[in-house]
Amino acid sequence: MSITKDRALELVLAALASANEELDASEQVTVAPDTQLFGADAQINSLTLVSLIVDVEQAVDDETGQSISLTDEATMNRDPSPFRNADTLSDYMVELSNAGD
Amino acid sequence: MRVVRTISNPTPKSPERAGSGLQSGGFAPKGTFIADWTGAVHEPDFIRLEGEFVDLLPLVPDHADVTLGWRGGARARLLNRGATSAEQQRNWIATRPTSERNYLIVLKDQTPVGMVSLVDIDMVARKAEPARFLIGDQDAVRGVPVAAEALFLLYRHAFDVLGLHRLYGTIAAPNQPMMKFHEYSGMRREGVLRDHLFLDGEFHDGIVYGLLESEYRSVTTRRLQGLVAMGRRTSQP
Repeated sequence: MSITKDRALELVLAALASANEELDASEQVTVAPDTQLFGADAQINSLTLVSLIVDVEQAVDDETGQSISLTDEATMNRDPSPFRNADTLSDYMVELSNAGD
Repeated sequence: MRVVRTISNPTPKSPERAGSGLQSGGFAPKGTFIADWTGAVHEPDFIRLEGEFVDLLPLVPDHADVTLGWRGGARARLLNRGATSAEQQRNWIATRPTSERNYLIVLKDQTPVGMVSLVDIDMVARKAEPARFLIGDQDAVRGVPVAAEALFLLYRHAFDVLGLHRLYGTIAAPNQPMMKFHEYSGMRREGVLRDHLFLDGEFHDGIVYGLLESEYRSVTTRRLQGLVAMGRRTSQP
């Protein structure tokens, strides 16, 4: 079973909300589709990004039984990066999920 | 200000170290030891480690004020209690044993953003503990792979320069983001030390992690360098 775009975005936003629970009040991240994840205007650092990646990969596995990797070499070298924001990351999750079906 | 002076002709600690070739930040030429501004002499492999987004600078007493400020922040509540005054912090830095490598993490424009250490370096069992990892300036590191590259530089130094076989450490159980990061970067969870830590007025389990050289080469390098590559890609206009 592959994941839908809406559900993928929900999972990314849930992971951002979860990350907020670990961050101080001054470091809270906006939980929205256009929240930038990496790069010049990103709201999170690489520690939080990895936490988000781990949470999302696990959530997809739990829901669909699919093991997707958001950080393999192809992803890291992809241009533009899927990690621009929450919405583009969810698009990439759907792409990986469909490819794994 | 740092100066380099010739003191003796050190013998490399291991064949790996002698043969290693960091692209930068490797150990100094034979015969050179490095003295910081206090006159304290460091071993030749204890020098600046250079990366793409960050450098690791050997921690010197001049860094007392900035590191003390970080240690007093909320982020440091899951680290062991440290100095409470600049003078204590200065003394603490000045008296670090030779079995430790303590670094200040700086961005390429030299903005200090954090600290990280390699402690209990045991050249017989070829093991050491990464420790005191703290990002102090959260605003300066958003969108930049600072944690990934800083730890990669430290691990690369440990395995490729010092010739270590194993890194290990204990993370406080409530520090979930740090545990996820270390597991992602290849560390294996090896056990639980119950109520091992007393932090912020409470006992916490200590989760033990370990990383062998083979795991560093097969997993850690790929994953941490991948994050650095992604940072490079997303930082381009």
